[in-house]
Amino acid sequence: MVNRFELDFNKALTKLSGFDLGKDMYDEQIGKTIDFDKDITIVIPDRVDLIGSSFIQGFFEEIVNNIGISGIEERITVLSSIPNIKQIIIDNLN
Amino acid sequence: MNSSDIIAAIALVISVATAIGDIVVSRNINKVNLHSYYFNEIYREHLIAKIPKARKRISLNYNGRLAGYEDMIQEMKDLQNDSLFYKYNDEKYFAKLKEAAQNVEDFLIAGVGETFVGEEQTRFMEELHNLMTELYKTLNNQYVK
Repeated sequence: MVNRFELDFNKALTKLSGFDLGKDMYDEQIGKTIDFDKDITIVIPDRVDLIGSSFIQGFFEEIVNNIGISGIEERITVLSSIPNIKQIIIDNLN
Repeated sequence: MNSSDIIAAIALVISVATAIGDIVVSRNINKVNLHSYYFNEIYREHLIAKIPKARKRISLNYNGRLAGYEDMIQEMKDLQNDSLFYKYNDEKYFAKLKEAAQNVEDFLIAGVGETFVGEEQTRFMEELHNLMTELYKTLNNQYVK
């Protein structure tokens, strides 16, 4: 099973914030098909230049519940135009 | 048992009760001091320097667009991270602090790229002020707990 997810949402959206938005986006686009036994790639569209901590916490809530923050560090690749996006994500999970 | 025995017994009871009272008071003072120490260690820089400096940079420029927001957004993230001690020490407070910080963060993010004209500018800055006040209230309430 391909474990690569390219996030798809309203093209006018360039900033992501809000716990509920993050959670809904995860549930709708990733939650049903993600395989936690394999490495995971998440692609955030390049037009997104700002992500809030609330969105990060909502989006990654289930992922953290399943593989933990260390699992995210080891097995998740995040592609984005935001520099150091993975570190930003890890720093904002609590 | 004569009256001097009774008086001695009463005096003993009072001494023991006073000693226990002193221990309880002393423990509470230590608890308050420790609570105060942790709070100061965690929040001193945020309250005195980082938040005010970040706030100072925020403005609506001549185009009605939000400028100088980056430091405050980062500071709200840092504040949550530095508060992780309370996640295990006072979960209710941690949730409130997180909510207050994320309200500021999300409000600023929503404002980025927007154009505010006339009355909208006043309303934006007022709302920001309200959210910052709420954040400070949350922090102050924790300090005086």
